[in-house]
Amino acid sequence: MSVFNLDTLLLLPFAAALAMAFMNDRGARTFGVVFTFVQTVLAGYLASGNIPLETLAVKRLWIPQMGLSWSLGLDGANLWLVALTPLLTGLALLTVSERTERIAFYSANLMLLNAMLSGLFLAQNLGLFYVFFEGMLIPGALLVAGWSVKNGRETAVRFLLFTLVGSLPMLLGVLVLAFAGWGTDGTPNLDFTNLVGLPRATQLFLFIPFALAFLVKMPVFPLHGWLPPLYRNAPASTVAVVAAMMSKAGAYGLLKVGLTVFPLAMVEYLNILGTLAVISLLYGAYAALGSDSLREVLAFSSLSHMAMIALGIVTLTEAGTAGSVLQMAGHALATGGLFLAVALMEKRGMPDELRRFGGMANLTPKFTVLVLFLVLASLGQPGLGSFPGELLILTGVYDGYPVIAVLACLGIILAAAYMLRWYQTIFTGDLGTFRPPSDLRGRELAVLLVPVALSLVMGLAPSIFLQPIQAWVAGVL
Amino acid sequence: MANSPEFFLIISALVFSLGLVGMAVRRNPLVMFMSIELMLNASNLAFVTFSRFTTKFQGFHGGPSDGPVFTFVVMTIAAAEAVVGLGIIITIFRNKHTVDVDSMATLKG
Amino acid sequence: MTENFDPMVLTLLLPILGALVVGVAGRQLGKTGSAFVASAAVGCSFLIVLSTVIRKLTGNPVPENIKLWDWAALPTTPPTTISFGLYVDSLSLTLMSVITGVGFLIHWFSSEYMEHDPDVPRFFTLLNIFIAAMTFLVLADNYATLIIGWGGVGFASFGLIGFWREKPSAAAASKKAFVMNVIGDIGLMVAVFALVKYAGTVDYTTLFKEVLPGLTNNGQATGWLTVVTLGLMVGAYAKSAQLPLHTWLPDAMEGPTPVSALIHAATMVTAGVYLLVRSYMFLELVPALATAIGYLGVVTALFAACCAMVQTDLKRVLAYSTMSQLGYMFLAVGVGAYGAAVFHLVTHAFFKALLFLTAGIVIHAAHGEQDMRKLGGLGRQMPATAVMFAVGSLALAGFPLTAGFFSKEAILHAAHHHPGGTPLFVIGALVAVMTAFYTGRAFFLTFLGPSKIEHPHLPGAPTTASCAVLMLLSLGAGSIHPDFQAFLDPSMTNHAFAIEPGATSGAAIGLSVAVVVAIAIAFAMFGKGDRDPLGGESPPLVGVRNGAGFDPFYAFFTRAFSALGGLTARGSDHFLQETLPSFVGRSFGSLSLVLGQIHSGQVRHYLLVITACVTTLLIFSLVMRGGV
Repeated sequence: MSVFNLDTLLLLPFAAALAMAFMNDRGARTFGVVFTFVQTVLAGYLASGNIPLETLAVKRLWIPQMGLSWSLGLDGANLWLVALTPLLTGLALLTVSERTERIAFYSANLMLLNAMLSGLFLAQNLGLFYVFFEGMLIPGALLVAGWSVKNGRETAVRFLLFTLVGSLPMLLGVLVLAFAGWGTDGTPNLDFTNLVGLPRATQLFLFIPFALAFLVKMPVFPLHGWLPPLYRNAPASTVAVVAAMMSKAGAYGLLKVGLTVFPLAMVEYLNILGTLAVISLLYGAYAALGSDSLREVLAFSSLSHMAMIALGIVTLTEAGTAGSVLQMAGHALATGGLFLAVALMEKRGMPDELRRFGGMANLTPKFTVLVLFLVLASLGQPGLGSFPGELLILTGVYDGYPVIAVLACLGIILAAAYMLRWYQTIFTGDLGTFRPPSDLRGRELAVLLVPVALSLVMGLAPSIFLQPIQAWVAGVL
Repeated sequence: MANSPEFFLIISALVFSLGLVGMAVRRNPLVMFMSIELMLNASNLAFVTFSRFTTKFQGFHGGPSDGPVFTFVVMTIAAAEAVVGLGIIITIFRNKHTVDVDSMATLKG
Repeated sequence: MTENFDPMVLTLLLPILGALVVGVAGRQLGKTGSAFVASAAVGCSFLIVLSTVIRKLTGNPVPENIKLWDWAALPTTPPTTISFGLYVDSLSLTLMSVITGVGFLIHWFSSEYMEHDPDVPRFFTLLNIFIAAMTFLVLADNYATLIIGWGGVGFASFGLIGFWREKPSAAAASKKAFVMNVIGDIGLMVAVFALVKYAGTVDYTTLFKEVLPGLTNNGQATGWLTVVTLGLMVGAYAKSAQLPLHTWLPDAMEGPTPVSALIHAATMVTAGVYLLVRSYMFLELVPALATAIGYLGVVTALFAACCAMVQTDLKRVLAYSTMSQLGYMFLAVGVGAYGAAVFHLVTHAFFKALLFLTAGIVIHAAHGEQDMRKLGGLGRQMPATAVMFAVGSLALAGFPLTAGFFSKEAILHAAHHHPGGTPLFVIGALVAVMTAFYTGRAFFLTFLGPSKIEHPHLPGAPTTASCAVLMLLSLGAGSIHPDFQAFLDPSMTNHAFAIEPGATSGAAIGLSVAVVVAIAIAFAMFGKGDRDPLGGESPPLVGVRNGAGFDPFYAFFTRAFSALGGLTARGSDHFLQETLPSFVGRSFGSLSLVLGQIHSGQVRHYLLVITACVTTLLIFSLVMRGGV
């Protein structure tokens, strides 16, 4: 068996994180960047279609008494998330400021977060999925608590409490599924393939804790109380990974667990989930329109965009679901890119209050162009990454609920309004009090060019990304 | 009267209640220990009584042997408890110069 | 891929390359280099379009649908592939000629006009991006990828309106234009949703050759056709600044003047007309909406003409006149005269670009002054410009034998012969007279009367030359109309082109006379160039000048949304982030305090509780067993 398999792909970042924790500051960061690069290339190679995806699946016993197995697989649902996680982690590592304290440990934590997220996306066993779902809280909370701009501990505790309130009930659900003896021979088995076709009543009951966990993680109104403080306070490079990839954990859970284990419950609770998604979509948009904090606007925009993704999943149509999966990648690039941009400017002493900005376009022309692209990508400009996803999602929504689709379109108009307000406040008009000392240079340009270029490709030829997704969706629905 | 279990059981209950009341009203830990001993012995009496008057599973004394066995276990535990308890009391006395249990409430919520 | 290659692909590729080169290496190229590269890209594009037109005219085969790659697959049954491809027919070729031809002239013009701006490379990058997006808008072969071009021109327009980034008014105008255009995008998206759901395809060829003809035979206009048409209308109305989605266009004049000429007069704003003409089969199936388009078009024309009459800013006169002329085109679409609409689109592109460019020369000459009350007497100082502006004005006014005359007359003729089109014709004719009047006013106030500008800055060769070409086109383009009809016909298979030998008809003669009279009245009122009764500051005049209340109306919504946003971000979200969680936290704290009281630390209390509980349990279990 070649080394190019999923075990390597997942164990690589864990090993790297461990090694980095014991390195010196400079070495750890370089090592981390190289490793994420290797991981991205490996993921890209595995995803490229040279090898049939089914042959990649790995399954080893882990704790058979609880039905837990080390079972990994790559399919249309997680393909792009698995590839983007190391990529964005690597870019985030590149933006970490030299003045950060204990860079080695910080980078190791980011790497661990990357590892946990990769595990989450790859897991084909519900128990393993749960382990990673909770596991990523460890590096996440450490990063927030240790390196926040302000109120680190409070933000971390809040984050932990919110997500645990969501995910501990999910643990009960996992245990019930493990020990209630469903499946082929009555022994505990939490593989997703084994959990297909549960009785309807069971689905309806057990879906609730799972949905709660995913909705908090995503998050969806009114469970988003952890999101704005975290996006406001946490170090920008962490937020880039959190906003781009960790927020997808919830959506991916809803997609993977919801559609494979609880399809009947998804149908049953469609109206509730859909309503929550629409409320959260508009709520996030309005809040972003009214916020005076640079990062908070992005936080609320993320809330709104994630709700769009959730809306696509709960339509249970091929178009909507495929659009959601695609939009997960599109949103990861756009929002992740925007927070990478924030990280780059924070090295230059950027404040958070919007009123202190203005006229940066003439000071930092290259930065301005790249951020403008990301802003456009984020608001769903046709031709960039978010557009095909949103188009497909709304096609799916329109199929069943034309009025909801039009309401969601209002969210797109508001997105244009708040993103442009954000962009113009920062870059146009009179000079604000914040004047960045320099424009982007060399490596920093590359950090933003990568998401911009990928977003462009995704906008102009989404079929490249869509083909495996559609194959998966057709199989699930 | 001596042939029916009620007599022994009532005595056992009385002794147990006596121990309980003593436990509740006395503040001296030594007396409270004595009360605990009373309660333990009351239960011993009950064990033996049930063992003696049970007709099933005849043992070599005419009743099942687990009653007497449990009595021995209880007695052993009582002895161990007395040793540890007295040790604790002595330590407390050395530190606080009192053994009044009402003054020992530092672990309250 | 290779077998699908056609030179037309280059028309898309060249401006993209131009934008890339100028965008990345603009500083190294310098101002002249940037202007040259960008203009060359568009110029070559134009030559390719021209060669394709000639290929088509000479009967050589031109592939109608050039598929480049698969864009996405629609999950219909069976799955439909949306291709990223080009649709080259007479209609798109006509538009392409205008876009690249006028586009090239305006690039050329800008190379001189913008030379003192510090940010020339960015300007040309954006212009090339615009040309690329507009090219793709026109050439896209289905409604889904059309939105890419549609949004692309919206972005380019945003970037160019807000080109002077330090001006807050420019930033506000660009944002307004963008958001209004996103509303239009949404209209198109809704049309796409409905098409996917009911027609199962968004492809032009499939729709127009297979799906829709089948429906025509049924004669039944079903609900989804109405939804699609409405969606397309919203898109077209936002892009072409028709009532009620027009308020962004006058504000868009914040951008540099060549931008106004290219985007907000000649090309982008006519995309709505293109869209509706492209989708004429839908309009045929939903005649009620076609009628609505006709009426809204003529109302827009009238409204904009009223606004134009009282403007004091030269560029805003032209902006409103653009809106008014676009109203004519929509009127033509509404009465089924698609050919006339496209013809007017073409001539309008020529004379309106000419007017904007000469207006730009005037503004430069007057050191940035745009207020017509402060301009005057420029005719003697810059006669060439005056002549060119005059030709543009005459064409706009529909003066006999200019290009504008033929196209406008064709539209009015079609309205006249349309069943129930008499009101449209009457209002349209009235607007034509008003157009002649306000155009005359603008010309006389600017060029006649006493000189008010000292040492005007005179134009150089490229600006004059590019304007001269446009002037010739404005004068002569009318003569091509019979050939144009023959060229355009195949796009509209069922429809004869409604231009008749206009000059002979009675209405045309009447119109010519009315136009001449209106110009004469304007001359009488403003000919001395020093008196402007319509430029006063009385409240009704100012009200109409500022757009007759649409702006405050929309501003109300904008403010309401912002207020709601502030309320959400600071009010309700504070509640959800802070108040509610801390309430939950505190209530757990107080609960633990209360429960903590139980633990007195007194052994006897514990003993009592234990005894009580055990006793209760014992009694309970006895009772439950039915014993005792």
